[in-house]
Amino acid sequence: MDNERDILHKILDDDAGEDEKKIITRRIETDPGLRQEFTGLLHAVQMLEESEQREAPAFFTAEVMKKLPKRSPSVLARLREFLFNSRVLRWNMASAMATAVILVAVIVSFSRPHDGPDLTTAAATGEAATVRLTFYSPQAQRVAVAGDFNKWKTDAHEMKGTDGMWSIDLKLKPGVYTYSFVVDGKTWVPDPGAESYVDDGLGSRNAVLRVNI
Amino acid sequence: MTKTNITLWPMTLVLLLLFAMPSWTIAAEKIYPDGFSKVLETSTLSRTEQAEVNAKAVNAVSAGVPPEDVEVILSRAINRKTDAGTINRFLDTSMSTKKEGLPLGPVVDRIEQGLSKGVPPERIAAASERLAAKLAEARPLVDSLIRDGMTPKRSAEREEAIKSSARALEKSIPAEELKGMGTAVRDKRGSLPLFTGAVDTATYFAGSGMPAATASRLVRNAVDKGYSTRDLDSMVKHVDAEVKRGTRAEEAAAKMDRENMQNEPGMDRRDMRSGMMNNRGAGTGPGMGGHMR
Repeated sequence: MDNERDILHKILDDDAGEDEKKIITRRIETDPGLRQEFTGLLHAVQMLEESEQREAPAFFTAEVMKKLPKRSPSVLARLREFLFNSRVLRWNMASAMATAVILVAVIVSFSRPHDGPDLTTAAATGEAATVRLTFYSPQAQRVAVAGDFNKWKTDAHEMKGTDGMWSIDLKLKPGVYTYSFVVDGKTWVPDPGAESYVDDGLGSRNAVLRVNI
Repeated sequence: MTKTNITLWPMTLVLLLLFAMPSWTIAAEKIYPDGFSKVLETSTLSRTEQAEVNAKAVNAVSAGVPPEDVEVILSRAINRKTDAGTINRFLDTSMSTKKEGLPLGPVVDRIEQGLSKGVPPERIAAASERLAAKLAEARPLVDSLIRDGMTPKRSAEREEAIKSSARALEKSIPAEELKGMGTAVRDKRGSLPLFTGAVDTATYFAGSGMPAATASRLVRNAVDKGYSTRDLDSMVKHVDAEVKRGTRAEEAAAKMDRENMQNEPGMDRRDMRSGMMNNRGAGTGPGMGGHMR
């Protein structure tokens, strides 16, 4: 009986062979029950074929899923789902424009040139080099070096003195710097050992220090 | 997630970003909640003057002047017993320079340096205002070179060119000469940093006592001959060495011109350069005035 039903379904699906069709035709003639079942199935198939084909709404799955009772998955599962589940993003003009504004703002904020003291603009990116400055001044009690690398602070870089020879090691990035020695906190002396000097725009001169690596 | 929620997301981000953009202002307010009143309290200024200076200092920070620079200027000015009017001039110059989008570093550096060196505040104010005016004059000059094809590879290159041109203008090198130098660099397919180097060299010569016209002519000739930035450095060292030997800067330039003319017909420029550099060593190394370890 089950075998006959299988053949019936094959016939309806148009998959049955000629022999199977002959067998079933004979059985339908002799078995009213089977004939009734076959007629019923045939009507059902015809109804389905004649009925209008309708497309599912665009967000049918999402809407159905939304109506399903909610479970509360673990945080990890939710994170995994958030990160790895494929999804369809629905956009509108407001979202697109807002995102564009964000991107432009981020790019502008990152590309905005940095303004600050001359040190940052003079010094290119690169590793700092150690530069030794020396100055002979036997009368001096205290000597410091002040320049554009320390905002001209007279107490930020004190030099060490031995027998009138003062020295200091400075760590500076590659670039061009201007500086002077400050003797006893009041007398400004451009480094006599410097190879070049530059006008400070205030009626005096500074030594120039070029740091190359 | 509903459609409304999705739209709200980016909107919220935009708002957050707009609030986060002036982060320096927020940072300044966190560091200086009362403005600079604590710094000003130690001054001999009247209460009204203190309030006026404080308001201006806060405005300067809001305009983008780094708060640490404002604090340095205020504390040094107070130590030098500078009057409120001159302090306000320092702040106004810094603020307007920043607002106009000009390089702020040189202006702030001049004020800080002048105050540290004990230069009379009036003179510092005048010198910084003059520099700000020269920066404003230099910017269109540099921008015209950029428009003519001397495109900077980094945004800092434009700023450096503006700073150098402003320093040159301060040294009375005419804008026309700078344009000429720019055209010469462009004709040799040189870069904006080469133009900056050429301008710096001319400024240096002018600052060493050479007449501005001679300095710019010498450098322009060098650029016309295809000198590189390193060649220009060597030129500076050459003139320096001559000056140290007691030669006047102008004579040193004339001597260099003569040497160049003699060398020109048959001598390769590279040979000439190596000859020039024999006395001074290579361009790389510890640099001027220091000994790199």
